[in-house]
Amino acid sequence: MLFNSFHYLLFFPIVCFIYWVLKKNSLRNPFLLFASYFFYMNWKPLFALLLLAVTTVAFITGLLLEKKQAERSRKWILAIGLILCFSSLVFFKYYNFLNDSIFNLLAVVGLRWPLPSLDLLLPIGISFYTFQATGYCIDVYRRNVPTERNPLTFALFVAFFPVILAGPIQRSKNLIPQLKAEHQLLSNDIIGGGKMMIWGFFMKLCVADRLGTYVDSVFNNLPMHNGVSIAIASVFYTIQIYGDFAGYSLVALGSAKALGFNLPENFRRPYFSTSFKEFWKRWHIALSSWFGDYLYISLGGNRVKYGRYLLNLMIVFLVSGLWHGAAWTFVLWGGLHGIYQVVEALFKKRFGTREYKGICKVIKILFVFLMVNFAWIFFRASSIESAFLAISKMFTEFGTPFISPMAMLFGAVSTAILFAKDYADEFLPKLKVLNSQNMIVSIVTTAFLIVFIFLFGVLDSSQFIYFQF
Amino acid sequence: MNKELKKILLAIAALIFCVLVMDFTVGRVLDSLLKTLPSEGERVAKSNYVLTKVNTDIVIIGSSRAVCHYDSRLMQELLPDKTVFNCGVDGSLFFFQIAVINCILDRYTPEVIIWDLQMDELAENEVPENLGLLYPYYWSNPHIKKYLDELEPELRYKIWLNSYRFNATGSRILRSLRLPESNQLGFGGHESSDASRNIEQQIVRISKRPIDEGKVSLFKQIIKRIQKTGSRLILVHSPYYFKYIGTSTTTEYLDSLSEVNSVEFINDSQLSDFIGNKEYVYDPVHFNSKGAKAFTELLLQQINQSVDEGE
Repeated sequence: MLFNSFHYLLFFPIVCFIYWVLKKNSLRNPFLLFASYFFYMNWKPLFALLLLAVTTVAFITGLLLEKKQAERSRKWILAIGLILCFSSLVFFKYYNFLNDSIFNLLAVVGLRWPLPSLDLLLPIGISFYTFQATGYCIDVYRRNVPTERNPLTFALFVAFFPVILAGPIQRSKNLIPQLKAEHQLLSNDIIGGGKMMIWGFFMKLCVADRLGTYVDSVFNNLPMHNGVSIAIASVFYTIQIYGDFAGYSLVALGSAKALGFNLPENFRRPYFSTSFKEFWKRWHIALSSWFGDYLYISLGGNRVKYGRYLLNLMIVFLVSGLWHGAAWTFVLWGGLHGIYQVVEALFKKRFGTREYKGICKVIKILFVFLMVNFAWIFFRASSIESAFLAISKMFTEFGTPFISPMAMLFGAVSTAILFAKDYADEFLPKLKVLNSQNMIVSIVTTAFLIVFIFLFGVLDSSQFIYFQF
Repeated sequence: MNKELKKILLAIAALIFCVLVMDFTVGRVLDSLLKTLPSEGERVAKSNYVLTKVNTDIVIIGSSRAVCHYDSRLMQELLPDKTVFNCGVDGSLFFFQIAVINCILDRYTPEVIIWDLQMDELAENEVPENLGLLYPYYWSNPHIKKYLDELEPELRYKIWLNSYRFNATGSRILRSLRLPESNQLGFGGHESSDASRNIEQQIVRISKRPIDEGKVSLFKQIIKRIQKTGSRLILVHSPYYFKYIGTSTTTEYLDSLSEVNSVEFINDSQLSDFIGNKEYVYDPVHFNSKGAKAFTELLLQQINQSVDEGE
């Protein structure tokens, strides 16, 4: 079930209503677990077994880690637990990629690789719930969180419906205590959650999907378009992916908030970043912090020799690229961001950190935006060849751009509204429209947004980009 | 009642009230603007015209291929006592075209209906056809209401919001109003570019996509209705630029239909004059104005010939 589908519009209010009618956690949590599995099984019911398997492995790993005191045994338990949890992810997501890569590599030296490719369907949300479950195992191993003994609570932690399909990846230390707490019905939660959802829908349906029609027209027919159209499409894609994923995250967080759960934000106006490091503190925060805590720190972080620290940065971003998709385009995208980070770190070491203000700050923001925009070309392109074709055309083939009036006009209007809100939130925090304390202002702007979404949004229940990961 | 619950209910009630007021206003404004749209040009304006106003002797039904390939001005010159309108609408597919024909027949009986069908028109759709262009007429046209209710059962709940009803069309209605008269495109609904492009010729093997039984059922019904009214129906595959190998399931079905039900079917999809002809091509699936002229002349000859043969 997609957030932007008619079914979710029915499902969510019903779940919300029943949840608040049930007064006790002993009733609420089993109901939420049932609703979460129902939500997940709406797509391919069989894949719920995989979700259940990962949940079971992570739960048992937690229990065993609690029982054993010897470090060596605990290490083994963690390793086996992680291997089991990751095995389904590796199989479904990376089997064909690894197989094809080995095939191509061996073909270069004239050898044949006998394993055939498989027609596999990637279980939706697998990258997210696997990371959520494995994060818990590592936390228990590090003794950062207590072991969860209630299987129902743990199953709900892994399958919690607002975040199961595409995160934000939750940490056990944040979500499990909230699952155990008795929530009170608060108007701020319902109204605030509702507003977050509406703004998320606006970002997805009016900004991302509207610009997406232009992006798809160009990127799906690169040979037919000139460099100007491709440059416009690449900027549109940079905005589209922000609208799509930040919009999705807001609907997820808003849904959770309406049920009384406060989950940390996943995006904080990333395109206002003045450095690449800052960008990753504002973009997909849940994943960045997951990689930071469980991979970067495990590699030694920055408490190692300088060269090793730079290598650690590269490794984290290459793995992050591979996490996004089993294709070399994603690895290149991750590698580019790794290079940005390394070069930035070297500059910082040579010239120190400066506080930018005024026009210098604007130039820095634009520079980071353009470099991030450049990297997104690899993320969007269907192959490395297509990405290089797009880039070469951008610098060599000029001419009249392809015009798509609807996408450009209404995409631009929606983007302007998004920019205005982000700008106000970033630089004028006192100015609040959607979240105004004045009830009338708040209700009128929310109603306007709803009508605007229904009138100008792309309402064809298209998938969120991050669902493919 | 709990104070928090009261606050929530109050906020929800106020929000619903505000949404309804805004939505009502939007609906009234767009409904009245829809009626004032010009007859041609932008696709919402054009679909409004073909669904509610067209009244010519000859009507041409189809998608953007119909829009580009049938030169209605030339047709009218060659048939001076007849009026012609090209009712093709960009991006429209089978279900929309059925609605257009039904709306036309509800109003009057044209002498000839030329229906341009693509080679996979009756095959199962890979993605559902977007019928948003029909939504504005849901409440005003009982036939469209019944038709949409059958095709999209969920719509009867969503359509209560005017802003949803105008989702696919609202922005285009606003845009149509700003379109200067000189920019309105084409004559009699025909629109094709003068430009030709250097597009590489390709040979494409036709994939046998299964026939959609729902479409076939509707197709049979509409043919029956047309035959009952006495209109002459001519089904056409207009030419393609690429060379296609094999026969599509739709073409096979139309062939069998013309044999059994004596429905006229002209299959010009693989005319050698058009395959790979760079003078005629605009893009891989559409011909330019030169191609449209050539095809229209040829089609009229074929139609006259079939009349002579019939006599």
